[in-house]
Amino acid sequence: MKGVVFTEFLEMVEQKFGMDMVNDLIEQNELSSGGVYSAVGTYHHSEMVTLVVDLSKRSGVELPDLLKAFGGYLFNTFKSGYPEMFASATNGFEFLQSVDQEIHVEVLKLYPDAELPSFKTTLLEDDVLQMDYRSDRAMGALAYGLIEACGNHFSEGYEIDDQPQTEDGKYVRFVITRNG
Amino acid sequence: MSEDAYKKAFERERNARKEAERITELKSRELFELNSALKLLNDELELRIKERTSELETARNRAEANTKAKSEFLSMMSHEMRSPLNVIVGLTELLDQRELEEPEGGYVRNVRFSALQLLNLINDILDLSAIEAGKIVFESTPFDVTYAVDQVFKALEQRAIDKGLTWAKSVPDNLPVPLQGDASKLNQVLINLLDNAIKFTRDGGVELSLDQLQNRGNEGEVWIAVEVTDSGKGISEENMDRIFGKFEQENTSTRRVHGGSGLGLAISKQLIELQGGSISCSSEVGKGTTFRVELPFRYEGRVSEDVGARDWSQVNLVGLRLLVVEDLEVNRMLLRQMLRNKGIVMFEAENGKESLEVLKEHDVDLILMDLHMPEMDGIEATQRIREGRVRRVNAEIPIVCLTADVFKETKEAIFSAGMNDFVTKPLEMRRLYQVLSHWRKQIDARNAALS
Repeated sequence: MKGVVFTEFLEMVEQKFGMDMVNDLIEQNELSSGGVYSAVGTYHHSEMVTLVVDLSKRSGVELPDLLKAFGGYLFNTFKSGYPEMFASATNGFEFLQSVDQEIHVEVLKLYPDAELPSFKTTLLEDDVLQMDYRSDRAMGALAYGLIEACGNHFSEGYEIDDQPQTEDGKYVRFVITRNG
Repeated sequence: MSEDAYKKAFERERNARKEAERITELKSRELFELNSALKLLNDELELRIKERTSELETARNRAEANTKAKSEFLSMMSHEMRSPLNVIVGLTELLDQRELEEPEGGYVRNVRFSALQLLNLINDILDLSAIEAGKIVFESTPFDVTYAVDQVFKALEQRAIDKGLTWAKSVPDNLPVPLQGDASKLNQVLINLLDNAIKFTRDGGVELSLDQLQNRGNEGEVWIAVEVTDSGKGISEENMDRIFGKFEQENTSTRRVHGGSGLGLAISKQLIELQGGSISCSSEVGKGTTFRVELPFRYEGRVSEDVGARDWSQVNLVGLRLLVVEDLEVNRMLLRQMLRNKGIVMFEAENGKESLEVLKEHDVDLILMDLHMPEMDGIEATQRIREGRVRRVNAEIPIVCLTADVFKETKEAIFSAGMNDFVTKPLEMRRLYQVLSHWRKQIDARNAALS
């Protein structure tokens, strides 16, 4: 998993829970990286699992909610760091459809070894978009958070129905209904 | 946060930074290597491109030299062929004027027509190479358009009759005369169109119409429209675009059946368009075809009475002292025949050197000077005369050039040597008489002024 996920995560933790929490998370867990993350590096995704699970225990926030919040935070990072990603989309659905088709394609060009989730989209009706999340990292809730933040960014009210397709969480179908 | 915690956090940050730097270094190295490989590839490509370009250049030069050689050969052959043809055309024209009985009259007309066809083919080839070399120059001499069209019409009449076709023309009697333009090019185009019309028509006939386009062109411009309509097989829509192309005939079977070089329409189109005119075609398969030519001429009022006269045999040339300088005996004979019984006092010389000798012995009013002759050519002889170095000869004596080619360079050479006018071979009686009578008038006027 790309280092940027880790560095952003720890920054969010520092912001919302303080530096001490960050230190605890790192020191109290066996991390082969030793908690040393740089955005351009690549680290094992199991470390991320360890960190979020421990954070949920320490903060008392449910894991899905934590990931959803992180999704929102990540979306903002993308907004300020890569504004060109949003240049061509005129509405939320257009953007969501471009994730797999355009954005991830560009990421893979620069980082051929990146492991990215797949987001296959189907427009069911003018205001209903189906998005199929598939990933070995099984972080559907993170995807949810990103989708929600997208709706807010484009000022479109989204009703997101997440339908897990497998028990291990590696395949989740999101049906997003747009109201105004 | 405790000092210890800060220290640990700081350590982590520093290590993260170091790792980022290491990764950056790695990426830089990778970039450099890829760049080097790319540059190598580029250099190799450029080398290959240079080699290929050089190969293509060599091939192109060879092809160009080839084409040039072929063109020159063709040109030379055509010039060689024109001399004897010149004789045939001239003498058959003389024969035709004697109004022979049938069938001799018909024989003569056929021979004349075939000679004209052959001549046209040669002219086609020369024209095409001239057009391709950008060397075509159009004459601007006064002539009677109606008369010229009529002549062509008469020349091809027998062929149409022999094929059982009707041969009609509709020609006004009030076209402005004379009009300035290139008569021989007009002839060429008309022959091409009329010949095609006969070729591709089995029953019915051909009609030629001539008219002036009103309200067309600037001051001093007269636009003429000529239409050739036949009731032949017609041209299909797909083939319409191709008919004006070089070496195109509608299809290969057409060529087998109808013959022809396929150059005619392509040349006609060029000749018309280069003069500012247009040529178009409309046709219906099975019904017939109409070719329409629109061409501008200059009109500056009547130049002289003689130019307007349609009957050239009436021109008065009695007493004109004419020196003909021409190396080929057969051409001198032709001129003798064309000019006999007009009361012209004719002197002859075989080349430039001889002509100067003749001029020293006899008073001469006008010189017809061939260009290419052994010992001394027309240009040099003219220069000698103009320099005033020939005893007894007026340096300003009118000299008319007899030339087979109409290339720009030739014309420039003629006029800068000091010649006054030119007549192209093959000689047409009408043009010859026109030039002679024009200079006759000049000479008379000058003599009158001096006395």
